[in-house]
Amino acid sequence: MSIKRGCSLYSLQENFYLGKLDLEGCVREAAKAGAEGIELIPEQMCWQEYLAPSDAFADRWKSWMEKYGVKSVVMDVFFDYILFKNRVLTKKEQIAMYENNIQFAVKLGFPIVRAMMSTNLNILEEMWRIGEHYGVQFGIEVHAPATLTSPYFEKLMNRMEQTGTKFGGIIPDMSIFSVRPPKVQMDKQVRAGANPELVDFIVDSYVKKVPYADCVEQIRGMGAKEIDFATCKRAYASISSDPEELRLGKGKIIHIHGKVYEMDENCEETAINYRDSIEILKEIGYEGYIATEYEGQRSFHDAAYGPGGADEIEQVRRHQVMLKRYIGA
Amino acid sequence: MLFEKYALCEDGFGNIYDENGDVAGFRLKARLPYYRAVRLSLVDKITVKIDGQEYPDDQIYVTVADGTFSLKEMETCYDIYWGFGEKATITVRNADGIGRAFTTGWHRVEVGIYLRIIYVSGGFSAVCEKMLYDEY
Repeated sequence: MSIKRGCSLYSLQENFYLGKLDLEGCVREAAKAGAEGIELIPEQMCWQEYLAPSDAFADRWKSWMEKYGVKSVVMDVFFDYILFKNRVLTKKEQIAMYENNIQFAVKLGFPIVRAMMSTNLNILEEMWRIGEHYGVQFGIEVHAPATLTSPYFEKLMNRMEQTGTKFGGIIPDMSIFSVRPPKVQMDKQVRAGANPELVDFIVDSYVKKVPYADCVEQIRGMGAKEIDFATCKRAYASISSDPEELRLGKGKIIHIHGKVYEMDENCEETAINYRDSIEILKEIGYEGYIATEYEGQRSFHDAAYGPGGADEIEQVRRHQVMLKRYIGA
Repeated sequence: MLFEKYALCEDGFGNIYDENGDVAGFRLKARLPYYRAVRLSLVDKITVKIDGQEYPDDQIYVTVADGTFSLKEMETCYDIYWGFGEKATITVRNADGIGRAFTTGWHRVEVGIYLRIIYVSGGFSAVCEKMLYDEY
């Protein structure tokens, strides 16, 4: 058994948005690009079904899995508890919303749902209990600005230990192992008016681990304007925790989001430390999926960039090549 | 942010007319500046400006696959979606329309869409401005 390769259809969002690919097309292209498993965001690509799931759609979805030789791996769910302007959903309503999501996951054949850190710890155990009832694991994504050592995740993992649940889990997003702010994001900042020399200085400072406050003071002395300060904030929003922290998740990691900002021609993601992360995942015995989650397309969504943008399919293909190389299977 | 250059569509902009042929307002098409469909109650605010003139909330209506709603009505539309990538029609019911006051068919159109999304402080939003031609 080894780590498996998946693809979140999030990676093909712009193709879908512009009507170039429909949902089946996205599954087809993800499979062609090398994915063995599929991650789906229903509210992104099949929202009409989300509130009133039909047997016909579920049959169609399962037939695509068979047709393209892929498995349903994870379904992404959201937590819109500020659904109304005038109030926050009650705890009962929040749990009901999540339970609906889990029922949809069961209908389509997904064994795992991915929820976000905005989920209050006080409903987590209820979700694990509900997950057990349906046979679906309820995982929380570890994403910037948090890391595996954040208090939220320390408490979550402790509670998993204490209850002995098999239906909880964490889902680290590889972007928490960034080594530099993504180049495509910094390019967008330059198009927005940031001084290219200051941007280089900021990236250099980040890599050298100059504290954020010091970097801000230094660029202030170099004549930074508002957009340059905003760029500094953006750059330092990248989290570069030590992949060693993955060891804390031994037995608790149920999925991995393989974040991609930009794959280069050598099929490397130079902004994220995949090599060490995957090595450690192997050492701790992780045998789930790493799902490509390409997010670089939004770095070309500014008017200043002009028409056109990312080649999502090619980015997924290159990431799958990289995963094959580091997983070694 | 994301999809900001796509939020305001190039097609579908222009006057609307009542049954007597008089200008009753104008419309434009817009897409969400976000990576998933949203329930209409999550739309916090929509702003519309034509050549610098802003239009009040109570004149603004949004048409999605499931129907047409005023901004006020949208506050309780928790199970009605604006789809991901869906071109919604935003109608401003205002008797001045755009055709009467101006001499050319080209206008500076700006739409602002603000979404109340819990996991990002300030939510997701985009203000998109383009020169559009009055098709109607």
